[in-house]
Amino acid sequence: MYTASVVLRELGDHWVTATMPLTPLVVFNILFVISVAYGLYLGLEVFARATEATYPFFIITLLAASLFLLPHLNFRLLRPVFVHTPLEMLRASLNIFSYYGESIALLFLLPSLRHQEQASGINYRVAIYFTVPMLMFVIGEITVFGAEETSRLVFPSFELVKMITVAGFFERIESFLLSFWATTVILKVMLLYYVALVSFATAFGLPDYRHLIVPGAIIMVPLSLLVFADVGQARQFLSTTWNVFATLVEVATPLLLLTVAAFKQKGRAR
Amino acid sequence: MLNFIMRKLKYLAMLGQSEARGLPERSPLSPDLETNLKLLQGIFGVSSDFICRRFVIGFDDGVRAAVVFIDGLVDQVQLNSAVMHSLMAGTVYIDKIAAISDLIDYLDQRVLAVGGTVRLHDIDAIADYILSGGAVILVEEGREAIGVDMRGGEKRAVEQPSTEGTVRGPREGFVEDIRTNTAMLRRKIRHPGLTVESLRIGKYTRTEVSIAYIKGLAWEGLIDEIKRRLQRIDIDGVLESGYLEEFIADNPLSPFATVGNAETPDKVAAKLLEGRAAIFVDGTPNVLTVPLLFAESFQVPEDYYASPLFGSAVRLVRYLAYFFSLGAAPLYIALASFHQGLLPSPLLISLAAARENVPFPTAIETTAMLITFEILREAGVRMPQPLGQAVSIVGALVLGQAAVQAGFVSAPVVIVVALTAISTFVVPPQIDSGVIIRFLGVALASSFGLYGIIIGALIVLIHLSSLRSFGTPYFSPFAPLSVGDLKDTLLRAPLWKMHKRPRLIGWIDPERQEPGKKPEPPQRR
Repeated sequence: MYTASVVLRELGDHWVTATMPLTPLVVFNILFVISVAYGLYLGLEVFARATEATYPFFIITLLAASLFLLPHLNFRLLRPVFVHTPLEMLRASLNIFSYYGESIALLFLLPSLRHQEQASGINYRVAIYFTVPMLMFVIGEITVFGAEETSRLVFPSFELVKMITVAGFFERIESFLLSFWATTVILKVMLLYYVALVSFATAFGLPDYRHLIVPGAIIMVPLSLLVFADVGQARQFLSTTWNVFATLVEVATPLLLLTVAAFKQKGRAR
Repeated sequence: MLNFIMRKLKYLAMLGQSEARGLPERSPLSPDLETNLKLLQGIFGVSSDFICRRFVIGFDDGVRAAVVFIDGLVDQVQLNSAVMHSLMAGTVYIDKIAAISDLIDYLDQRVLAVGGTVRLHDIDAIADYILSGGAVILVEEGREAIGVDMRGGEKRAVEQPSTEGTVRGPREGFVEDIRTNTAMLRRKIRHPGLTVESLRIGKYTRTEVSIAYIKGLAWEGLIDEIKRRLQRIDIDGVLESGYLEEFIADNPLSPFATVGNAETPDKVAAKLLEGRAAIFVDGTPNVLTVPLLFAESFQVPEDYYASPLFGSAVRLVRYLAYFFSLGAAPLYIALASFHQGLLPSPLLISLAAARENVPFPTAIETTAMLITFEILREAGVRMPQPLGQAVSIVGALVLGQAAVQAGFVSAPVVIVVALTAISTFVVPPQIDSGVIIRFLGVALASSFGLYGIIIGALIVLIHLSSLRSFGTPYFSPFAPLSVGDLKDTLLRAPLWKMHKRPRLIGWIDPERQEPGKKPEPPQRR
């Protein structure tokens, strides 16, 4: 049962992975996977540190972007608050939930923590670090474009940064933002990939997850190409199927594991 | 069965090894002086610089004795005055010298007017001792020989190193002689805690290698680890500290050096005061310091001699220059060939105008210019000094101006490459790694544009985070983040603010001084 759930989880991770690459070009994805695999090969500690080193850059870019966007902001656009029925709001939050739910993957890192007792505190902090930048961007998007426009755009944050002009010279810095985005995405994929491989390795009792890196990479590249044909399909997929699927995986897997653990403990108690 | 054979083979291999590595047989001193001298002569063969001076101690009933040394390794003047004179002239008035029961003791304690003496018991030790620059006195019927430290010979004077120049600060640099170097360090740190431990490495060169550290500041584990790694080394010779570096580095195949390199005593002293250790190698002015952090590449002793504001500004400039030295060329390629849209229109137009007549794609153009620069650099280093001017003229005029005028290379490329070149030299410790990373970046940028650069940057970043130098994460204080240490990385905090030693290196004794020593004018009363 445990194995099955892990496989499911693993599959889910691959979906996530697959949705991320910038371009559907196979070469790009291979390059991407190579860098991810390199990070994985060096281990959790290493890519955690790499993430640590990039985080300030990420925050600085974000702050800079928000700062430069100040003249474009129009807070009136936020205005119609709570006009929808609660049910509608719940449904909408499902969408967001499926994204935040990805942080479930972080739970898999808890065993590697040196100070186990701090685990729950760290979880909350992570959730905050996750949410605040996202929230900033969503507010930025809505205040600049308005809700209607934002929901229509394919990459709203991307369009948002396009608006930035500094001193009439630094225009179109969205490509740089894109680069930072790529960096963070690589690190994210690294994390998910790591979690997938580690859980796989644990499930099948392999001593080291590193043996799985190459097979995993080989699966990941074609899968990432097969998931959707184009952006339109991706959008459709992400807003309908994905929500349900991801939420299911993200909620069901931990619950399942919890149940298994509970039963196991019961068995042991007897 | 197979297992058995394997075991047998391993056993045999081990036997062979121990035979090959077995210590040379120790031949004890014989009471007969001539036998000993013959044995020594046998070891040194026909070498003409092996000198064996026979003489007689005492007057009437003199005892035959000999001094052996290697010409050029010992200080002749001192040898003559301190050893030969006291042995030959000084013993003339001693009565009944042959009757003295322990002549060796007598000579050592009463006659020899020299500071450092040792007792040697066998022929091999004697050979070893004179090879390291001592003179050995052998006496008829003596059970021991006396080694006299007479190290001398020609050596270079202490002068300013050509690589680590300063505007303010001490100008002395290390020389080739290890004793001079350790003495220079001791003159900086007059504390008994400064420990210098020595060992010999190299089957043939038997080079003296010293580990220097401050007891109480350096972690014993680090010193043990250095010793362990040094003792593992089994090579023919150590001609430069680079030989050792390659054997003791944590990741020798990485483009980044994980062992530091210093040429001035003040730099080494500063490193030791932070809790690091230094490795001196005889025969080279380059002293190794471990552990090395990435951030150290951007630290220069002068930062601490100038005002903190200026020091910090220069630090930032260095980081910026490092970024340029790696990123300028790849970014230019990516922008010019993939992301023209990123450039503001006026800039784009002038760029396009400059590139109009150039027959090569930007990537090839830039790569060619970068390679040319590397060639020029190498030529400049290897070339005899007087020809250096010729190189710079050829480089600047022919390759730069003429190439642009002929339309082979566009002016922006020359600017970018020149910027790269100049920036490279701002951070000397990272020149070597920079070359490799730059070309990697250029290759990635020319095939994938900005995306390639980002992937490349991330790979480098991951690699940096994976490196360790003697157990210390190479990329700390950035990652793992240690906020307290950041004040000596991007900026250089005032000395009274840096009251803690670097957390991962100087944790044995973390407090440098009391906090809150900011100088303030006295309160007016």
